[in-house]
Formats: sequence, structure tokens, C-alpha cells
Amino acid sequence: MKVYSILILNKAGGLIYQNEISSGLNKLSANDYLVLAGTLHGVHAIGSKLSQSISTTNNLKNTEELNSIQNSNILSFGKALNPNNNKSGLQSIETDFFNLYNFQTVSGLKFIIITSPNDNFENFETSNEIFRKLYILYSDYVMKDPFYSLDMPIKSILFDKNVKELFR
Amino acid sequence: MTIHSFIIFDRHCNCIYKREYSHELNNNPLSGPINKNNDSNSSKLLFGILYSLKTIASKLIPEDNINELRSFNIGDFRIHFWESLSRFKFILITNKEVNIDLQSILFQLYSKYFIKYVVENGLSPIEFKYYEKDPKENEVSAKINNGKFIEETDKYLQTLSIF
Repeated sequence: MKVYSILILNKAGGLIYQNEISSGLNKLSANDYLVLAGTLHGVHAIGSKLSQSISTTNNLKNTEELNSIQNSNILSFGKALNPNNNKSGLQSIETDFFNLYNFQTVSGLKFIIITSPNDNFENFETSNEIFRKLYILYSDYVMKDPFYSLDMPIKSILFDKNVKELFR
Repeated sequence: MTIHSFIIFDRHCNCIYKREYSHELNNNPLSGPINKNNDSNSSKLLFGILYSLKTIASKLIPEDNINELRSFNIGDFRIHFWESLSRFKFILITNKEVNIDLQSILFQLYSKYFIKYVVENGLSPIEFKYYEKDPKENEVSAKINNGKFIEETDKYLQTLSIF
């Protein structure tokens, strides 16, 4: 699975980081990337509404309940059992030319990777592994940066360097 | 492995066919509603998502290529999508465990059943548009109510292992 591009969205749907790892996709302008990020954020929100309305069973929990379960997990075990909080929204897209995977943290941050298409759909494990590593890098080099302000574009050189290293 | 519903949109974003299968316990799956919730909010939300994702799919690839959306995952559902050249959109909503590509099945539904029972049917309208203001001008229903089509597609989908 070849990773074409990484996007990081803040909780309001604004694009805070974008990195083209390898070529293969159309070169978009900075503005188009912002539109793309906003669209994905919107589709994610609509999707969670839709998935609740299609499901006939009532055991599907809403976002607040899921968040409180996640929080109590963190409080009792000291760590989240699964960092991916994306339970009801858009999780992946498959097209002829690329696949897109979406990962959401408890705080609403979204990591999105665009990869080459693959025929077997069992690729959530590979993508989850990439997301886990990215999240670690984000926590280490962005969250621990004293000059970084929350929800603003990430301009950290160290983060950039380590992301490049990850996909080499 | 469950198929929750089978939906067709026409090119004017009307939901012209919506077949839901109920998979609850002690329930015949075929007892689900047919064309009951065509104008419900969920149909509209679904069309909105499809439209946005189709735009993303075509924007992100180098020019002169045609990229088609195949499927996407939302919550516990996987939504499989195929579009004909006449822009009829065929959609199957399944649960997440369906890990195979359903493009060929959607194409079968189009080429074998839709063509045979809807397109080649002289009594079925070409445009599924409904003129409410002047009913005498064009008295067509905006839905596929063809019994044979419903029966045959039900039969076909039931033979699939993922049903």
C-alpha cells in the first residue's frame, strides 16, 4: 500500500497539515486542499447522521455516549483501548485510482491518508498502524512543542522530518 | 453478511427505487418496505454524500483520467455504488463485514434486470420525473413499481451469499 498524501484536520474541519508523500495524485492548489478538507469533514458529519438513521437496531450508541465510554476507559485503565474514535462517521472510500482512510481521535482531530487502491478490503489494519504511528509523531512533535497553538496550522520542521522518515 | 437495502437514483437525484430488507429475528427479509421511504431524509443525505464523494474522486486524480467511486464505509455500513452512463445510480447498503467488491453485482442488477424490466418496458417512463402542478401533462409515478422487476431483483439478491 503506497501512501500518496496525508491530511490532518482540526476539530472544526480546517486543514492544519498536508503533506504529499509520493506523486500519483493530481496537484491541487492550497485552496483546493482546504475545500477538500472541508468537504470530507462535512461528509463525515452527514455520514454519522445517516448511519444512525439507517440502522434499525437501537444498540448503536451516539457520539456523546461513545465519548464518555472512551473517557472512562482512559480514566480507569490509564489509556484508551482504541485511539480511533471514528465509530459512526465516514471511515474509508474506495475508488478506481485511490483509497482514502479516515481516523478520528477523541478530541475530534482527523488524520486522513490517501493511498493506492488495493483489492482486498482487509486493509484497515495496515492503515490503522500508519495512523497509530502518525498519532505518536503528532503527540511528540506537535503537542509537546511549546510554541504551537491548538488548531493552528502545523509548521514544525521536526514533525515534517519525522513524517518523511516514516514513509521512506 | 447482510444486505440492508437496494436503492436506485435517477439523474435528477430522485430516489426512484428503494427496497429495504428487514433482517430482524423471526422476520421474513422480504417483508421490508418497498418504495416507502423514497423521500425520507436518509435518501437525501445519502445522495448528498454520494455527490460530494464523486466530486472528490474525480478531482484528486490527474486530468484525462476517469475515476469512479466504488464503495465507502460509514459507521457499521458499507455502501456500494455503481453508476450507468445514463447516470442511474445503483446502490447497495450492506454491513461492514462484506469485504468484497460488489461492482459486478450492481452491474448485473442494471444489465440483466433494470434493462429488461424497466428500460425495455414500453409502459415505463423514460424520465422518472413527476409533474405535480399539471398532472394531466405527465401522469407518471416517480418510482419503479414494476412487480416483475421487484420480484426478480429480490430473487437475485437472495441467491447471493452475502444476503
